[in-house]
Amino acid sequence: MTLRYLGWRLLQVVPTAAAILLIGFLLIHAAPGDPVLALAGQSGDAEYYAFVRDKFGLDEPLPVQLATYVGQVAQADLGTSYLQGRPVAEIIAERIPATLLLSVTALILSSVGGVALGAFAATRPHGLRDVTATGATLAVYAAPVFWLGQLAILVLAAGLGWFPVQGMTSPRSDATGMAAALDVAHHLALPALVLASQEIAAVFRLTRVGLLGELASDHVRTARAKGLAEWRVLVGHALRRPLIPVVTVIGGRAGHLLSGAIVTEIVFGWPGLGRLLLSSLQSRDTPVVLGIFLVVALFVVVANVGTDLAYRWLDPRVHYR
Amino acid sequence: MRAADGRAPALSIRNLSVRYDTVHGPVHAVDDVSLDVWPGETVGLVGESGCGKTATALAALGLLPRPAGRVTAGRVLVGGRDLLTLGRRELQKVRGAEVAMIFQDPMSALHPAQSILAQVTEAVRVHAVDLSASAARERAVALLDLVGVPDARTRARSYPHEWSGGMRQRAMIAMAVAHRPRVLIADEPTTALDVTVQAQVLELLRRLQDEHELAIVLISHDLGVIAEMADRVAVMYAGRVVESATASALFACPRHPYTAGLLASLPRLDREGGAPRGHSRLTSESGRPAVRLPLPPRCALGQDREGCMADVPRLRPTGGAGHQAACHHAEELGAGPGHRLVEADLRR
Repeated sequence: MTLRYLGWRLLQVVPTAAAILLIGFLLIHAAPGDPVLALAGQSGDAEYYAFVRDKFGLDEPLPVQLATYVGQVAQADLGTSYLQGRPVAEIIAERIPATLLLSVTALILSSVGGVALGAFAATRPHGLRDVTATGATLAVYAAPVFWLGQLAILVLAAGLGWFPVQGMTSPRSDATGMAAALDVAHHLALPALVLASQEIAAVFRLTRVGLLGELASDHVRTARAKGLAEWRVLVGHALRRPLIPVVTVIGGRAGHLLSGAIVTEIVFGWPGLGRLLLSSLQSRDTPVVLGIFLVVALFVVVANVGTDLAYRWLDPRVHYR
Repeated sequence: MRAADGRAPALSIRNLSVRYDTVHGPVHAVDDVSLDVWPGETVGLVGESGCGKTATALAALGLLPRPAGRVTAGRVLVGGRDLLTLGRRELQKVRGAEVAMIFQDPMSALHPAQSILAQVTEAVRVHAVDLSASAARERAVALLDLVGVPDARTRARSYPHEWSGGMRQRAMIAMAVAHRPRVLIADEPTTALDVTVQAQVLELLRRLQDEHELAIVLISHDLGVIAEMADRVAVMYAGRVVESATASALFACPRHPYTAGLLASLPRLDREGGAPRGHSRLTSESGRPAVRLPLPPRCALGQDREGCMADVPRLRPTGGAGHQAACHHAEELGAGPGHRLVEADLRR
């Protein structure tokens, strides 16, 4: 039953991917500018332009180009980058780990931090800690990422020197093993925190409101009457249902793990997929852009299926057919 | 009344006062309430909604909703200790082990997303930490068996919404008696159940009581249930106990106009419409009971008795055998037509 559901959901990937490719392809070609100019420069040498056009099949009619591309993708070939001359799949694969490291860290920070903060606030509603936590998360949430990121760089990195300003590793570092990992973690801290700040408020508010209701509920009173310690009442009974909307938010974000960090990556010079997307768009490297679209779309679908499965784990009464 | 055998009460509530802070200002939900329950005895706590029955019970176990509810005075003695002075951890050791509680609506009182088995098992393990998970599950199944859940082993894996109300209340009772508590506080345990199921649940409580000398505080506004179950009854009005007596004395000869009014309010099949002669029904009153006020606004005797307003009657012995009433005219009432309302009329 669950397996059938899973198979059916994964089958939905096909039309989704097709739609993404079609829309992406048309959008890129509808955009102003000629890729040949981006590729061959502004030399004005018509012969060289023709050579480039022919080399990448850009002289074909649009439907033919589309058909060729879709045919490639159907054979699991994302094509070759105009700019780098390397397989797109290889280029994307190189960038995914950095983006995932940043996004997953941020997601963990925001979910664990948001839930913990929500519990912290809800156990003393309208008290000092509640008001402080509510105000602080709201303020951070209201600030745009690029501003918050630059502020963090200015104050914490450039000003106080606690964190590196840019990048994922120290330049000219030959550290290996643990030292290298710590170096990456040091670079990771600021961008991850800034990225997490966008989600932490949502998770916090959902947890807080849900917990306020649950902590006053009859079944939590029963749990207390059983003699359970307060933290077990909280974790085992009260938190369970508020976590469902939290999972929705986190699951929704999980789909954006690959694509949600673009601004953060640019601000912090993080060598991930987001920066690759931006540079590919600027250089009109169509195969790379389309490849990123496709990979991101597939990831969203898989993350959504994962979210649905998480519901079932949290509330076993949920059945999927 | 089984007080005479010289044992200490299983639960002794002394001069308990509870205050709720509401948006309309403080409400004295419980005002100087004292109550003793001896082992093997059932004490009924009756009164209308909002009179402080449940607040009394919740306060005894430190379960008042926070931060609105607060105990302002009194003691709750169980096994020689005052529960109100216990630290958090000590109180947790008492809850579910020495004093257990069941609630009105077993659907909302159970966690909706955990199996019955998981919830009963948890109740077993909380005070038996050395027990292995599987042994605790076995014990949980045995408990469900004990409270009369048919085919407990299989059905325990279900979730609360898959069980009937009566079965859910049995599961609550199974959790409550898991550690053979001295005291069971049953807050309207049958209100949410239909009449036949209600009788079965009451029968189960009586059986468990007989098996291990369980002291039961039975909170109800259903006088039929109280008449059937209680050895003694305390009637609460506006946060105070206004009359306390053995069940038979109270039903035969109420000595407080509120009690008399409650009894007269019962719908009767053998008399056509309205109150029995000599009594008037309680006049309805909107909102919460007037707190810290004596009965007069609603007193059947009271229109011309200004004395109650000037000198609020306190609970005092009247008529012997531990009968107490908070009324200046208890004796007149006792001699009045109240005795015609015999207990038998209340039984179903």
